[in-house]
Amino acid sequence: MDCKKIQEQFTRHLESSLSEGASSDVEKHLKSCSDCQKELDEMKAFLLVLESQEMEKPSSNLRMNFARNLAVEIEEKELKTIPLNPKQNWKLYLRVAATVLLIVSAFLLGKQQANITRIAKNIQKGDKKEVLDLLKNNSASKRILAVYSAEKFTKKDTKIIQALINRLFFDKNTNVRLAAAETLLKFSSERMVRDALIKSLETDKSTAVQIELIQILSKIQEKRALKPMEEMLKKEETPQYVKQQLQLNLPSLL
Amino acid sequence: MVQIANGKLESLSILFDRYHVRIYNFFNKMVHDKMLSEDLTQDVFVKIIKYKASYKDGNFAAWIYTIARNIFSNHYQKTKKERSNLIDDEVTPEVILASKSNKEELDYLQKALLRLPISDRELIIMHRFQEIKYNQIAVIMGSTENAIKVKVHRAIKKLKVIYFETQKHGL
Amino acid sequence: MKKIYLLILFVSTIVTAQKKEFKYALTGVKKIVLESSTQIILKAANISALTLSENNDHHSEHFFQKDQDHHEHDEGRKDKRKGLTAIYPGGRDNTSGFGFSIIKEGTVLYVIDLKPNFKRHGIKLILPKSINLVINAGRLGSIEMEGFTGEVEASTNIGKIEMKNVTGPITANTSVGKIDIDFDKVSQTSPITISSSVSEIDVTLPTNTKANLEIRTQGTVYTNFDLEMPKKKGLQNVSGRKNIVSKLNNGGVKIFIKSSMGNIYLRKK
Repeated sequence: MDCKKIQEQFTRHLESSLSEGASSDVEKHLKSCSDCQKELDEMKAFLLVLESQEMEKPSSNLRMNFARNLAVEIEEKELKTIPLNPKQNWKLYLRVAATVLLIVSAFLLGKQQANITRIAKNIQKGDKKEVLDLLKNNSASKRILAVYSAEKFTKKDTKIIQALINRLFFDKNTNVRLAAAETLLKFSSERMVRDALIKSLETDKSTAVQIELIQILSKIQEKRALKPMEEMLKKEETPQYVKQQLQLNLPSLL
Repeated sequence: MVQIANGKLESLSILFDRYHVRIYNFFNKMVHDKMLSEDLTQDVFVKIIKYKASYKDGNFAAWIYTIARNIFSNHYQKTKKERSNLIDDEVTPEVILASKSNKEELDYLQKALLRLPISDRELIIMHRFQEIKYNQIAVIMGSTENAIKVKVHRAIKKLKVIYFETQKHGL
Repeated sequence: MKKIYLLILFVSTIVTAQKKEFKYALTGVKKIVLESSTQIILKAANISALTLSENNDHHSEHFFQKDQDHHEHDEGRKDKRKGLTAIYPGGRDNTSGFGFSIIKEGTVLYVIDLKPNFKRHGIKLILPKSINLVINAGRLGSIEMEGFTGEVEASTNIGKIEMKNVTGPITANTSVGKIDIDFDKVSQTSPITISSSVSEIDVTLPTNTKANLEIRTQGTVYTNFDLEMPKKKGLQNVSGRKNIVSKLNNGGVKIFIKSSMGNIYLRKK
């Protein structure tokens, strides 16, 4: 066997992955070939150098970014399987957030706690669908929570704004309607919001909501509210304290 | 692994734990650039998260290294254009790839590695540093076990030569 | 268990004492919606049934007796109404003559008072303390409750709302009536909202309550908590509207207390 072919088997020979027969052939050759022996020795030494290489550790960013990507993916996946029953949604929302937090915290180091809560908060805040569903919850307190969460959205989120307007008109609970009116103040630059506020002033049966609307409409300087307010002032059945509020705020609209 | 295909994303985190250091080191041995290696590793796992569903049973290690190699070659293609603009012709492309990015002193072995052609470098990294078996590498590279064995040996030999030369001349 | 209740029912109707009671088992009920326009008193107990009783007004005893149910077992009573149930505009009386319609829908029990305010002199209900409650006292009714740990929604118009030893979440609203709520401890589950149009609101919280407070009124705010005082922002103070946003014990559940005109009293305990 020529040296070249023998040498080609050196790596495997040193790894002991050659067959017995081939291995003994190599040994035999080496006994009589000093060049090959030298080459083998070099190879052996070099393989040791290779073996001495250590695995390096990446920074913690790698783990964090993976956790974030995974969390986003899980959240998106869970949202696709949300049942239609509104009663379930608050629990599901919590479950998704909890699952995500578990996964994220399961492999982030203790130092990273701040990031976990930040991720969780981002998931909470950004979730339009969850807020929309929570707005239909059976519990008035949870609907109020949803209404205040809706403040985080922008005026471009027409679905949210529409849902808030629905709460303003149709919610059975006075406090929810009140909260809706307050939150809609943030979106008062939108025409449809101003229209809704005026309409609500004319139709809402609760004096608490009426008073709140009077204050809001005068704050945003909605001149179109002047007429309905004057009508209200004239009506006999308007309670005295509502009239007081009207008298207080009307002047600012004139 | 089939679990992942069925959407159990939680198991992905276990896989991350198992492979991310190895993949990171794979890239780092290829390019000797920590930040770049982290970016590339992240890309690998983003792909895994996204395409887990299409993984249809089989060899996870082979799958992940295939993704890693693809990502590396994409990166290499992208940076090729940058490299071709450089004036110095004598220096081989692989060396430029390395010296552009690192600030620390490369050890001789790493320097030697970077002087190897990419295909040889890959083989050595996978077999010697990542300790992937010959038959696995054969699957990943689409070759036969015996062919891989020969190629690995030749690559090691080349590296050895370059290594001792590098040491000698202190390059 | 049911047999015992039936027995009690029989016994309570036969032994016609001054106070008559109506009992209803609450298995599977998580929430009670109560509508009535009289004075409503609710007491919490460690039971799993609803006990309803009316306040007897001595002067109108005769009037009251006319409405009494004549149970089949009650011999000797000759009455046209014997064996018949009353039907009111709001529904059918299925509470043996108490004048309520009780309907169960899923886990919600609707308890609707069918009689108008002037025919009532107040009702009292004993309920499980952890049940969730929605109470509407109509235009004239008022609400008094003690010892409940579930979620409560309460609304009145001119009547007052008084709650003691509750935990919340509470969503309470009146137009003219006073609100007085004394918390045992404060549930962190979801927001607490207490609002009134005109009248004053008096809220007592445990000193170590964690909360994000928001108090708003055109009246005056009195408190012995350490609150951040409202900042003066030009026009906002002209209308006299005060808006106090403050954290208690580094923050926690949202508590909104709003009155348009009334004073607000926030007490420590």
